[in-house]
Amino acid sequence: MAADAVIPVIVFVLVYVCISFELLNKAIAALLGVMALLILGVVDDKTAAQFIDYETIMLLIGMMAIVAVLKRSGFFTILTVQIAKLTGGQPLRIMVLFCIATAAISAVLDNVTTVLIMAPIIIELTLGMGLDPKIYVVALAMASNLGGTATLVGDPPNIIIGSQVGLTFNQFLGYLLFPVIICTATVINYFWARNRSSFESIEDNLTKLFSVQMLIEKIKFDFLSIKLDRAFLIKSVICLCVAILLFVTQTVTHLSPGVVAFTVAMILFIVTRMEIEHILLEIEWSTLLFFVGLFILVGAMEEKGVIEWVARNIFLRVGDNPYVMTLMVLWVSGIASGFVDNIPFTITMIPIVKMMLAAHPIGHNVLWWALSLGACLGGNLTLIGASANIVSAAILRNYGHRISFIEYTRKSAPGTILSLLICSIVLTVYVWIWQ
Amino acid sequence: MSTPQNHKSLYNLVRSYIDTMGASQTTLVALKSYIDAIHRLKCEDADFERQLLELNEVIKNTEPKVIPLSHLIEAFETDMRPHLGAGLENAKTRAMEILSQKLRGFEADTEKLTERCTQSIEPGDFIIAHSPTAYIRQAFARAHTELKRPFEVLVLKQDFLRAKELVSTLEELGIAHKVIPQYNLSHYLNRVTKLFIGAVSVSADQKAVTGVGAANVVSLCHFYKIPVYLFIETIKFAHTPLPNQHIYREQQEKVEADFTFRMTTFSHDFVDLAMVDHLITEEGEKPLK
Repeated sequence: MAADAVIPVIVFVLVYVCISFELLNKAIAALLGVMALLILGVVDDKTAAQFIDYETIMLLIGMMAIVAVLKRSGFFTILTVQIAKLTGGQPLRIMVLFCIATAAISAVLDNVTTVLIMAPIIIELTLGMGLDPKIYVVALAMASNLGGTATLVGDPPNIIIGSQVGLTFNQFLGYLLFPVIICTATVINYFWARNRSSFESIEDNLTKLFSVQMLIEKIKFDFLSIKLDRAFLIKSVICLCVAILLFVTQTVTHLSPGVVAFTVAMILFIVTRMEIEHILLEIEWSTLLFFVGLFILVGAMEEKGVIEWVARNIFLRVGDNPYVMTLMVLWVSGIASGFVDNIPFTITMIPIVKMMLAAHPIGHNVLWWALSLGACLGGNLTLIGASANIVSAAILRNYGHRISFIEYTRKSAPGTILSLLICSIVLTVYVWIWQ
Repeated sequence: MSTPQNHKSLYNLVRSYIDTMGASQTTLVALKSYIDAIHRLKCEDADFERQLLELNEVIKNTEPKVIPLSHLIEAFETDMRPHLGAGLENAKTRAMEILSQKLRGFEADTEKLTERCTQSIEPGDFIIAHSPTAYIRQAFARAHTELKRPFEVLVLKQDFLRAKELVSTLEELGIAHKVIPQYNLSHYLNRVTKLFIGAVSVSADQKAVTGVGAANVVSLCHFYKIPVYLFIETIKFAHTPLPNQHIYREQQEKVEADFTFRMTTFSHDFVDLAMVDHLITEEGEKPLK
């Protein structure tokens, strides 16, 4: 590692500390780091611009715009109320149906949006029934992170991995859907086994059945009181389906996910005649700037040989055993993502994994799947592991139920460890089959 | 067995229903929910009566009391008595039939009251609507679309959901209206011709339990001699005085700009019938004492 690598390392560590301890806004911390590198002459502006992964940024903007339009169409509210109706107020059915729906929606939309749509209804439903909403909300957040892991567009780490490594939507689906389904089923089962008394049937209690029927009617009234524009709704759903179709047929069309998401978003603006200014307000610019900053910070470290040094002295020391390499990437990513933001972690890990693969190749991108599963599922470990967890805790607080870091972790960690164990088995089988 | 916590949750729910939909709609939803609940119930034959009585007690003791619902449940209890102990399925079928009958009867009453309310809207009226229930909303719609009567509505924005429902209807049908905060009513008192209100119940001591804020508006209208119309189904007349209506009282802490207000709030207002000019039921105008 060159001597001039010290500055980017110090800057990167400082940025990481600021992000992890929430000392500064994430975007500001990352961009301040970039400015420090530019001012100190570690990189010049042209090189810095080259470090940015524009494909990831395009995909994020496109998906954020599609989600913003879909949210306004009321589609997900209708869907969620229908799910609430389907549960019939049965506690176990509430848990299972909401978790499955959340995982499925999160596979296509971002996890925070999904939690924002789902959590209020599940809280209203459980509170109205005199149940503890915390178990349900934690399970919901976990399902959202799990569902997001299954696709290229479901979670930012996957978007970054897909874009930087050139993996397709179908590859993600093909390799990750199976472990995600098993993990989701395991997490639901875990919550059921741990809190069996909370999931007892209410069908032998007339007062509870009455309350539930009243409650479902109320939820229908409250959440469906928005004026629906059918044409707008249909156009939005068609555009979402077109986007998914183009993601799935990527190998035929050769259109990158970023181009697909961006194009569909633009078409959606035209057909729904939405004011672009309104949609632009809903795009998370601070997240995008955070990504830009991190790409430059990690790019600078890579250029100065820091990443190579970390890869050689830490990750490549484990040797060339593909099982050990895969499990190490999975568990290191899983545990680290529980405590630090999985976006910078993934951006940092990508060049390291590339070097590991260059030294000891493992077929069928297994190491990338290990990184994706670890980074995405690790977010379930603690309250601060993923944005969806923090948002769900905030929604709970709005309803008068505080959940602390310890309480959240106590509820979520066992399920996460189980998920990582399942992924270990699946990845071991993948390595065994293809090695 | 349901717990006091379950009952508390149900009372909260009922309160929130009354706030957003009014007592009549709450009664309709509650009766439908009761029928669905009986349909889904799986219990021992011997346990059915206990469960039925327990739920009836809970419904009759909501805070505030939903008088039409309480009355219908009392009547249901009487009608149901001969059928208890005649086998679970038989008792369940009878219970659902009786409740459906009550539901249809109440729907018919509400429909008649809507018609009476519609007839009370005259050409050229400028009507204040305060926390309007579903039938007042429907009456505005009918007077405009069916009777083609020209009138204007002054919407006092008090409760968000109810005001939203009303304004959506008025906008959709193109009915002339103005939305103002309740505290600005004085600016319109020289123009308005009527005040329409609904009520949860009328107590035996001649007090109408109404939406929050109604008492102020009624007082002001009464002072300025603006006719106050109270629309209410006869089933909402309670046999007991106001304190027995269980108006819900709550201590709340509200923080505004770093200052904490410890406030006492009531879920509903009450209006003395002496300040009401026209008491309209589904049977027609009732003479006021």
